[in-house]
Amino acid sequence: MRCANVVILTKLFLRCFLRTALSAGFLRSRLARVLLAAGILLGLAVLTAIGSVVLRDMIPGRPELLFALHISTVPVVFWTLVVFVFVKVLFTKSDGLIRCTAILPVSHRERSAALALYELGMVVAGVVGLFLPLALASVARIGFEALPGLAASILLTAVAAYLVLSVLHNLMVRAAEAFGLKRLVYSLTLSSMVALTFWYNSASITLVRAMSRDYLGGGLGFYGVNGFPFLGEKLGLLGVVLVFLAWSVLFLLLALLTSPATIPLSRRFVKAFVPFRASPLWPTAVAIVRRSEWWIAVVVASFFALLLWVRGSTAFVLAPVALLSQGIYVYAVTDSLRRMPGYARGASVEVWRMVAGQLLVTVVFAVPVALLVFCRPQAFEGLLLAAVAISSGAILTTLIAVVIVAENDSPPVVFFGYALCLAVIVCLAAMVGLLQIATLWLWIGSVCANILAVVYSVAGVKNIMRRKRHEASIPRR
Amino acid sequence: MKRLFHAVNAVVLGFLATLVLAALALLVVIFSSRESDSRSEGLFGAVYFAAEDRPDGSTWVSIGIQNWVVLAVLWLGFSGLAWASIYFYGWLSAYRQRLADGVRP
Repeated sequence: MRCANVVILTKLFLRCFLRTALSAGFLRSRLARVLLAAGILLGLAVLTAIGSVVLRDMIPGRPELLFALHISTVPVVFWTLVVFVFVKVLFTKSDGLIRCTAILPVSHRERSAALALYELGMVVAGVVGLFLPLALASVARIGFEALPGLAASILLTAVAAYLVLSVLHNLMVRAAEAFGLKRLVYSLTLSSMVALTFWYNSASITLVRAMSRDYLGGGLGFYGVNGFPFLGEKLGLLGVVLVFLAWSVLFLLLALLTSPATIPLSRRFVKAFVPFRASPLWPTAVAIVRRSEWWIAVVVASFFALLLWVRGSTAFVLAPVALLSQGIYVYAVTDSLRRMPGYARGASVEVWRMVAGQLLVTVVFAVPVALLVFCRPQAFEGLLLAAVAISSGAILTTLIAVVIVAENDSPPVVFFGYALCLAVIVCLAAMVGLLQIATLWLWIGSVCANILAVVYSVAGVKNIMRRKRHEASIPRR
Repeated sequence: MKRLFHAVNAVVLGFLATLVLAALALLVVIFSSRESDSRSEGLFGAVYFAAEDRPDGSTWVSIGIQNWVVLAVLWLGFSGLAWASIYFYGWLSAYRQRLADGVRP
């Protein structure tokens, strides 16, 4: 294995990611890039200032700083999981790039090593970027003596978690290959990783509670995720570094031993039977259902429903809402249908098809989950909420799919769409919650918001149609 | 149809501006209140923050909207401003287009 080849390939992967990210949607504009960079810098400065104020008011001494470091390992592992899944999606979507590397004079081991380096770089950059305000605020408040603790709780935890995740992913790929499920490797591994992310997110509250209880009791225990800050207290900085090196070597060897024989590529479509061929909604339903991501969402939603059912919660009826995460693709996946003769219709019909198609395929999954209510009657109240959430979610995701079109299934565009939508919803919910608006007005507001979402979706589709007509009218040289 | 759409846009923008302003005003009122037993108002009396000491030693806190009329007036005002901005922007765009087409304005 030649290190120079590995470095060149890693650079190639990083450049490919940068170009994919920067060629998506509004980021093509230089002004938008400058504004985004300025916004990120401003956000960083504001968050650092807020962090400094919080540390000044709440963290007067060393025990409090240690507690903050222990607590911060919980979100560090969560974000490592999120970025890991994101990078895996990004990479498997770039199947053209992988095929391109197959014709380069590099060995499979060099390609795997470059892929691991690229993933590690992305994970570390993502997690460090997210926790930079906390780190800057700690340094500003406590001084450079906070740096070793920060490095142990953020950087070392992120790298160690990545290595474990990498081995876990490799083992899943190997297991799927051993059971003859090579075609489903992408869907199986990704759905398992997403389910693991959500499970960890639900478990993180218990972790934080347990750490807080320990802190109030006068000592902090070992919970796995806080391993490095815990060892930092017991063994000192040198001990932590030695343990980290040993951990890295062990898991690197394991990752090398378990690395799959071939890099798994995504299967974009899954063969699935869809009835009612004569129905006008059939093409839309097929376009949604035959995507491999749809089945990943089905696995994750089923996992949610099962987990909540086993825990005795009544919230399992809301599990089908997870399927609406696929709604963000609905315009992009039905785009090829519009080129079919006799299919294209007006903007209102297009929006109706997208909303109704999503509702149809979601309800097919939601009905069996809803039937479980008969075994747990106290969950009946949640059914109405689930129905409202699914209807409203289908409308909202259609609007996002029209406003931020996921061209070529670009993961950066999709993640940006989710993030923007989440930020808008959280801000609106926070403002409405702060103003203590009455429930009746909230319902009226929700109905109006849904109507407006439909109106804007229709306007968006009309705008896209107009733009395409304009582009088609320009003669090519 | 286009004018109706612009009017809808203006109403939505006006609503969002009012919501943001009311929430910010409430936050300012909450954080500028120094006494535990007091009632403060903000945004021309549209939002309030009240804190009251109870005999058992606890503090009862209430926040929310006090005067809907002020908010409605603000909504109308912001909507009008947004509609005027959209109309002016459209007029400027049309003017630029006329200049580009070589038509004397």
